[in-house]
Amino acid sequence: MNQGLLHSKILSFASHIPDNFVPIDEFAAVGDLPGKLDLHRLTGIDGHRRSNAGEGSLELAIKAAEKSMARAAIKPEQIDLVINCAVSNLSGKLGLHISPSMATIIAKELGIDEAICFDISNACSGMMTSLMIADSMIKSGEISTALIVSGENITSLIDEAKSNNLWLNSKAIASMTVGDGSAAYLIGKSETPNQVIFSEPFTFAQYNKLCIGEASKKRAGPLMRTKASQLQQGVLDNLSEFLTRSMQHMGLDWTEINHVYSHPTSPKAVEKGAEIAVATMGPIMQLHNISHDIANTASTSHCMLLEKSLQAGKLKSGDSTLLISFGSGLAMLSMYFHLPEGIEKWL
Amino acid sequence: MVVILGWKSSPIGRSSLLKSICNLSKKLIAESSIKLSDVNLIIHAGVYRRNFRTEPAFASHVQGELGLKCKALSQESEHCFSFDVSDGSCSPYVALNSAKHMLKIKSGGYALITIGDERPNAQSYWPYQPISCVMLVALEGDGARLISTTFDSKAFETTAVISTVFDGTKSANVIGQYSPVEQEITTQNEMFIGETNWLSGRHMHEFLTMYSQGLTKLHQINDNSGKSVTATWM
Repeated sequence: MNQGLLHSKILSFASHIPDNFVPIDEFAAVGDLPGKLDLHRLTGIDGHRRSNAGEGSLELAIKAAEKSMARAAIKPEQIDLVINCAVSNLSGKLGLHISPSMATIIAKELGIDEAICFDISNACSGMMTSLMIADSMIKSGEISTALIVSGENITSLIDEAKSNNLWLNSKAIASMTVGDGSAAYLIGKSETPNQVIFSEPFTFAQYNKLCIGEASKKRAGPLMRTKASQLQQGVLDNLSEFLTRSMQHMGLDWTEINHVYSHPTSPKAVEKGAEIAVATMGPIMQLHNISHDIANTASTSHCMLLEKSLQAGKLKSGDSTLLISFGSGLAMLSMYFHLPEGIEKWL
Repeated sequence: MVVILGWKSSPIGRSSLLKSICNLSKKLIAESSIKLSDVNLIIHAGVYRRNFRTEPAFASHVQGELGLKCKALSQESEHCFSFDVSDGSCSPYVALNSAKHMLKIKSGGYALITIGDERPNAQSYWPYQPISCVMLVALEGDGARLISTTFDSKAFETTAVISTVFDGTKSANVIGQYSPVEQEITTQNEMFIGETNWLSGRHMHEFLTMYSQGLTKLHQINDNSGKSVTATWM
């Protein structure tokens, strides 16, 4: 098929935001952290959402996927590709899913029988990486509709961090900034060009040891060790060039983008990034820096923010939207897209 | 369609997966007609990583260890993109298909596909002798051409899913038990089918060895879970 004639669009997105809000005072009060560290003041995070007991990445992912399919009125048999991009892939009992792909299990649960299924792992940038590949597969004519999904069951990282002496293990403190949630996008064919555009993707591997997630050596489940300030500095040092180069590559006018979402390592970190963005590119029409009550939900973060914006009535059909993604490694890439038609009726 | 311009494989032995992959990659590129700086993309395909590491992508460690384009961004600078894919032992073909699409996005360069696994920890039961396999891939050129791949999940069984469990007696997260799907595998003429208990690197090592000898252009990988992929090469 002629790739030049095929286009893609986001058919729907959906997040499951767990109801259970855990305020920061319950897990990281000022007296709990070394040097009377005030995590709320440092990060801007008020708390996070925690999944229900026994609920793992799979169950979270299914909730988001079903919601996204309902919003786009897409049936299981219409889906040709399922990519799971979760970082955690943890069961409710903190077992790490290994093989085959979690996408295969998600597809089976959803009754998607004929789709290609695999997992992509690229830390918090896994969602953008997966969407980029799905977009290319649609534009090449290989597939028509793809479900990109992730369930992040990661608040056990907080429990793991707190099981350590944080005076001696300061790299565990960044684990306090995570939250649970899930996300799903449906991407499909479009008759109109430029509904979805990606920036060049980059990996700055000189920063690849600054955030490590792996199995705990003492307890069930994972741990995360992060040199947060160095990693953040890696992003900030490259952000100005990244935005300039990305806008040029995508052929976009920064001032005409309706909504901007940056990966929310924390609201304060997004503020710092926004200062650079404004100084480099000019004013941002709407920056949705609203992760204060959901925290950093890894690969699901942009979609969680989109869901919050949707619930707040901020999104309109056809609005232009830019998602800026950072992931440990350090990966940087962006996706620009137009919000699906009929989005106002989703709630 | 993607083309394997060159490949190398080796048992990991006592080495780490990262060292094994990077040593093979350096040798492969040294023997090729391209420079390391021509590589724009690294995709790692595998299932087991040391201490069950989940982030960052293993491919970013390969990129860092190779010292590939680890520099600050400017308007003219060239960079690499690295990420991991997985789907049991079918992972190599996920990587090859992903490379086909990513090479269109990061046009004009080459992809390094790395395949391999390593024992996550000493406490986990480990009946494998992993083989690392690296492939230099492009959209055109001389070499093995991947014509088509067909993935099949119909025989997939959830009882064959592999996850970690916490073993209290060993005080460690270990690979849990699972029930491999019993598959009736019918060998077609000239199709190479590996054993279901092989890891990804072994599958590609054995197939590419046969392909290089002109013995087959058809490859099927049957995963323990019941999933399979069938590939046609030219």
